[in-house]
Amino acid sequence: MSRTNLSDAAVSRRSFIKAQAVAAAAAVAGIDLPAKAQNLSAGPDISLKWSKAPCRFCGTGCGVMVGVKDGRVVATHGDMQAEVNRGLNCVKGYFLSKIMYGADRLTQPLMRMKNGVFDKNGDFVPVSWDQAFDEMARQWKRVLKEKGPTAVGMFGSGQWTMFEGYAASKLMRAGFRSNNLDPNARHCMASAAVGFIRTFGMDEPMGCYDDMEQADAFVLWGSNMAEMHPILWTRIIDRRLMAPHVKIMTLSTYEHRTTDLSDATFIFKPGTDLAILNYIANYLIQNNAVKRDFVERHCNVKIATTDIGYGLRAEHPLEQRAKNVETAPVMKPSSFDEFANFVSTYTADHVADLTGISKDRLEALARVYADPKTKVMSLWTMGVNQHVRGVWANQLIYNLHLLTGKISEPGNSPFSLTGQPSACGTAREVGCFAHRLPADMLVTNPEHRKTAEAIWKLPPGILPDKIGYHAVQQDRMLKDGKLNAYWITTNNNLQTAPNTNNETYPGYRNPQNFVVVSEAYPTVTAMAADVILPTAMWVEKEGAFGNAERRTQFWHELVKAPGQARSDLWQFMEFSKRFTTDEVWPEDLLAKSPDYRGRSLFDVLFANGGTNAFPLSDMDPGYDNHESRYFGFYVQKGLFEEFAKFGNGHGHDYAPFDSYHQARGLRWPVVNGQETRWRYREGMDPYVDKGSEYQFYGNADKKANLLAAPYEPPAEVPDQEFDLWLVTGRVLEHWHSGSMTMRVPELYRAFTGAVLFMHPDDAQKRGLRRGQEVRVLSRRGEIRTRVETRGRNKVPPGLVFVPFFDASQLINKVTLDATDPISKQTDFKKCAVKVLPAQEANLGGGR
Amino acid sequence: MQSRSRRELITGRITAAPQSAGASSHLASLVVHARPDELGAVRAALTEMRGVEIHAESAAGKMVITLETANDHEIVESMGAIGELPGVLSTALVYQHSAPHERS
Repeated sequence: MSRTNLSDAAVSRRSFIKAQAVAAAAAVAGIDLPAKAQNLSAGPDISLKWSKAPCRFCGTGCGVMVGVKDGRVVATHGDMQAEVNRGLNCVKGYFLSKIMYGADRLTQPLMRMKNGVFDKNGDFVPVSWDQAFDEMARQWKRVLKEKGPTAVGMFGSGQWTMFEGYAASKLMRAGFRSNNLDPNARHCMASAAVGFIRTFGMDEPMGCYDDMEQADAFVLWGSNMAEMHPILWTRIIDRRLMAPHVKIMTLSTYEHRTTDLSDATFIFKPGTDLAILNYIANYLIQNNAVKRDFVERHCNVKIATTDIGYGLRAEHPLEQRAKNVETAPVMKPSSFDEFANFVSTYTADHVADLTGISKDRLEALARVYADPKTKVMSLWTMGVNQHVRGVWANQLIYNLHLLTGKISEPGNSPFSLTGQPSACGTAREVGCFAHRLPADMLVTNPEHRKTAEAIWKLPPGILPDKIGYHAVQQDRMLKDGKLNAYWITTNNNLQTAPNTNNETYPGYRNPQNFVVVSEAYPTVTAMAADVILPTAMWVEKEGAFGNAERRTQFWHELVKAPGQARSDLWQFMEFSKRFTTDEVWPEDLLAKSPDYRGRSLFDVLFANGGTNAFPLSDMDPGYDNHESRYFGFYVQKGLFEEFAKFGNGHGHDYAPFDSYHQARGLRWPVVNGQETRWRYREGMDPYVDKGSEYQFYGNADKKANLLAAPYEPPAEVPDQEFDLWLVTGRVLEHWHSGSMTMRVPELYRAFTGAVLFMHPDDAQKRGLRRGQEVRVLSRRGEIRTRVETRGRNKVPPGLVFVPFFDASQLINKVTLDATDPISKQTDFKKCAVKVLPAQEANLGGGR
Repeated sequence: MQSRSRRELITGRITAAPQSAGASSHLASLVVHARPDELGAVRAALTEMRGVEIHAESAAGKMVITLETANDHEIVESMGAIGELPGVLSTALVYQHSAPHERS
């Protein structure tokens, strides 16, 4: 269609929109526009209503202005008032206005049926919400009666709003009395969360993004920020260009867009980052670069339990062989001298040999940490976290900052990036892990359970004390028939879990199990379920996310969800009405608290005088709110204010609910209306006592832990037959499993199918041409894909990379379900595969 | 809606083929950050690209451009291509608007 077909009014509207777009970009870039481009003042009425929302993709937490016209999101722009992104968005921001409008959006509940009744082997048939919930309740009650609370479970999400995660936690732990609640965030940052707790006694970074304008050096340990966190990358690039002394150093197992743009790149053999970290610690000690008074005053030294296995099934030979599987998390007290002695074996010669990085280059990297005048920001994501020794890797990075005292001050910052928009806010702060309650409290701690029971107005003893099944364990227990009523929401686990063909899919289709998936689109996970519930997404509901720098951000419901789609929050609360306390709570507890007899779970969990404390009149009249209108009270406000009670007064303080609808997010702890940008540092953090300089107050003695931990090899390494390392990951245009971005036609076109990135020499050795179809096989499964020897990821010989966004090439059929034994996070970066031409493989037949 | 078999999962036959969103017009403004000494080359490359218009630039290497297409996928392909141009340090989106074509 040509522009000449457009009406004058349309042309004028279009020019106006374009002028606005240009003006916005110029303002963001700090560039003056030529005069002709500045005529903006009086434009035609394009009747857009603009509201703020955080982006719904990664953990950066960019602010977005969302333009709604006639009940539909038609435009977005970076929010210039948002400190995180200052008006910029990455390419995924382009699709925010489109992710809700995919052609195959789910709009009504679906259930597998035969002859009008539920049948696990039936086809999906549209049903009403009542029919779906009736069958679910029947199945849940059956399982609870037959096997008890350990047989029900939920797999949630770091993409849940904080309200949703909190409601899910109440429903699962207090309602069904099961801690079998875990988020998909287990796959992406459990090692980071556990690393924080083991080092500082408290989760989440001490610093913030402001460090990026203060640091003199950036060291990226396993993060392709240019593609995965592009907006934070622009902040680093700005700093690099404005201050020529600044250096960016990137460590990785292959070259990518970030290494292209770095000042120095270090390609190491998979898993050997642990040795590099210990080498640097050794270098610091050998060269008197340790800030001894800081270490003495503010640190304890611990030594790790070693030979801890790989988080595989107990009968796996590697677990049988490991000596200390049971005691993996134990850290024993140690001394600085013992620590120095421990790392002294990580000499330049030894580590150069192990890693493949030359001695002089290793030393150049160590000097960055050693130089007292260089402020260092260390950044990491999946390379460090998706690691069979991910917790150690996190802690060994903290070692470098603690040894040099380069921590908790502007520019000196070990900073764990996150991959999901509310991995911090929801999965961690709200506490959606199998072992966690809100505000870093633990299900195994009786005092913490008591606190939770008091805030939730529950009878004593209701909360279960046993740690539930973590993500990978849930899949195993589904397969083994021990977890039987299962709700998966806001994730695509059949595509993203490891070793799916052997460990995930069989559990979903196990005849003993009833599996529900709440989704916006028919993902592979949804298609493997028994019931699919259509879910409202992003600005179709009021929400809150917490980003990687402790920033809590709210948004309003801006458009209506299509058809019968409802938010997860509505689903959890409405489903709770179908259970009474007598059906799910044990008689002995009810006998002690007879007031709770015969009441619905909705009554005791949500209409408890706390969650329902705020009337509809508290809502902003400018916005709808489908859950609150339905339940008759301001649901989100009640949940948030109740949740905030867990952390207020001890370092997890939030601002009052309403202030988040005004501010562009606030970084907790928020004390007396002031956010905290740097924690644990006197004068910057209100919780640190005068005269103490630093207090790592998450630990009782207010000291941080240095950890002595060795290099231990990955669970599986290439051998004669499976002769290549497989690394999996994301690509810029697709977010995670592609559930949303693959629905956007533009994105689909931009990077339509996953490919196997391979070194040209490796391809030649196998007689493979670029573009040729191949099989990628491991001991667990195989996929077909095509060879790419050029392009943005340049792998070294001996290693291949396959992204996981493509549902037609499920690379997780090939990956290994080895986890860090402490964090239970999967290592998606290291397993052994072979690559064969598809043609030749076909000739083999019978395989 | 059809249910999916294990066979389809194993063979990878599950692909959600998205449908075209139909006729629409797409507009985006971007800030492209080039190495200052390679600004000229980046400018020349951008000028060659379809739907790209350069509106302003700074000595620090930042350029304000718009991408305008009637064709859906070109915007993202162009953004990807710009991001991979030699000398480009970052490409960021600022404003995007899509609307069905309005006829008189």
